[in-house]
Amino acid sequence: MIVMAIETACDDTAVAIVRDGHDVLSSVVITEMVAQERFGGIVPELAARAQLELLTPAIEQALAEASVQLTQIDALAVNNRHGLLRSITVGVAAAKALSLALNIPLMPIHHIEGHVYSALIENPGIPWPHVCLTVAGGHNLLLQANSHGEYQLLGRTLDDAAGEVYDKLARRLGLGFPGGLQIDRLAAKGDPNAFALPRPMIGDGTCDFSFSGLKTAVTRLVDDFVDASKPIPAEDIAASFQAAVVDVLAAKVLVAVRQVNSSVVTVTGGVAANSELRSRLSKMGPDHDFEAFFPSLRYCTDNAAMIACAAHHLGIEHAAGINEALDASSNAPLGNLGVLYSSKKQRG
Amino acid sequence: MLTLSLDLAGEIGSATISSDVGPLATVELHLQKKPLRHCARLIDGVTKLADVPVKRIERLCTITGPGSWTGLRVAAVTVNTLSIALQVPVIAVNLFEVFQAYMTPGESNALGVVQVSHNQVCVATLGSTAPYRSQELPEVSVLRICSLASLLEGRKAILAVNSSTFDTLRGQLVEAALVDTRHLPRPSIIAADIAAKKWQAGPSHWATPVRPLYIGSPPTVPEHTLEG
Repeated sequence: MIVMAIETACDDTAVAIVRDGHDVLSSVVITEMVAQERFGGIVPELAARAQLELLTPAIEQALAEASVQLTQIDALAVNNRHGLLRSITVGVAAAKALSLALNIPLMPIHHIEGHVYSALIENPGIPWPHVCLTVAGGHNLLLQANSHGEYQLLGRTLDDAAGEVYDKLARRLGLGFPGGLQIDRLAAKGDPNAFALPRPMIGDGTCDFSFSGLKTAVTRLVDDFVDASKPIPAEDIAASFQAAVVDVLAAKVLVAVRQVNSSVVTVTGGVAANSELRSRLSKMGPDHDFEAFFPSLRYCTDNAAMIACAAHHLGIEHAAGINEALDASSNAPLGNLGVLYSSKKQRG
Repeated sequence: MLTLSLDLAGEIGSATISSDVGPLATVELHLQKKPLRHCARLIDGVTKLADVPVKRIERLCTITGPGSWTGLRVAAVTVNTLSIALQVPVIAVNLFEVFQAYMTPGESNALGVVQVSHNQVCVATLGSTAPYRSQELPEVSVLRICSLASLLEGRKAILAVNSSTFDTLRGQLVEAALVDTRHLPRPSIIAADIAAKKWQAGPSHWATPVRPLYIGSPPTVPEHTLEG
């Protein structure tokens, strides 16, 4: 089955064509950069306007790279839940139009579910159940993925997502947006023990996270140097910050592995591209009887191949009828779980 | 040529299929501020009513503004994507071009008013000349609704505004001749006719996309830098 997927959850415009869930024929990701550089982050209205311009070229490019005609597409998949509402609306409108024109099924996919399945693109044999740590700028979850579409929530962030804190620090250090890659590169040159930054909730025995305190601490650290008119030791700050984040994420993975007695961990989302996190969890695995799987870097950040992969595994029976009220939602429950997963406080 | 025309600019959305001899079918829905939810439903409904499969559509057109930004965006994405899938041209029609067509011959100095947000309207002076040429369109002003009453007093105006806004204005203005577009032929019907005339004046390539007019928006980024 050849699936064309569209992913427009944030500022990226992504289209992919994937055969049988793992054979990626093309994966196009286009990012609009001018607004980000001008405003230091993502402006939802501007992101949606750019996606309107970029989506049709992305579809054409994906078809050309895959050497596939539209008539050869068997099904469509689109991220319709979790992300910026205006951006998701653009992707869903395009997917619905294609579904109408081609008379093929359209499968709505949850953005976080897409990230969960990103680990299966290159490793379709990952056994179920497994623990999945999915960390990005907009979400930060630990799940037990029991089977296709069935999840158990182990923990989530109570405030900020780790990726968001990376972006905030990068912006404070003048490194631009997005900040994950810049901080990672800078951290490689610094001393991770240079500054003692907090590791929030690291020893509380739960799988929940909290990064707002770390964000405040590292921001104050930078402010102290600015106030004292001293040069900012950006490399040491980045290294110390990254060590704190990775310590917390790795510790929580260990708690989750012990809690559900799992031998397989997948790590997905934009922060899964972090070199220190990949290295730490890969080394920890043999000592604690689990194997860690990471998607390739290009499947860590937002992409449409993961949406196609999820659609393939979840099955065509999840397709939405075109006359059903297939809508876009900025925050919706994942899979069979009835709670929301915004990175901000949603408890209660 | 079979034309599919789409309008999601306002409170009520509509889709029309027209042939060279006139409209074959029109479907309209109250969008309830959910244009995405109803867009495919409109297209599906009108193609079934006209008994014209989507594959047979030869030309697309949509209202590109002014109006609700989300509605305009959904309509533009939909017709642009259909254009690629069906390899048919897509033609942009301004809502004030539709208003021009509502005018009777020789009539002038009327105002067209389109509500674009809960407190903003776009206003343009309408004339009966060259109704199908967008370059002849008058300048559009963006005003707050509270300043609209003094402008409309004693004049004829065609209004595409929320029902509550229309009722408020009608209560305030005794001398004005207010025409509610909800009582006129749906904009998608008129737009299909305008698109046919524009096509005759200058056919466009099927791969040329349409863009919404974000009237009332602050200046945005002039060019896109792409990475990927």
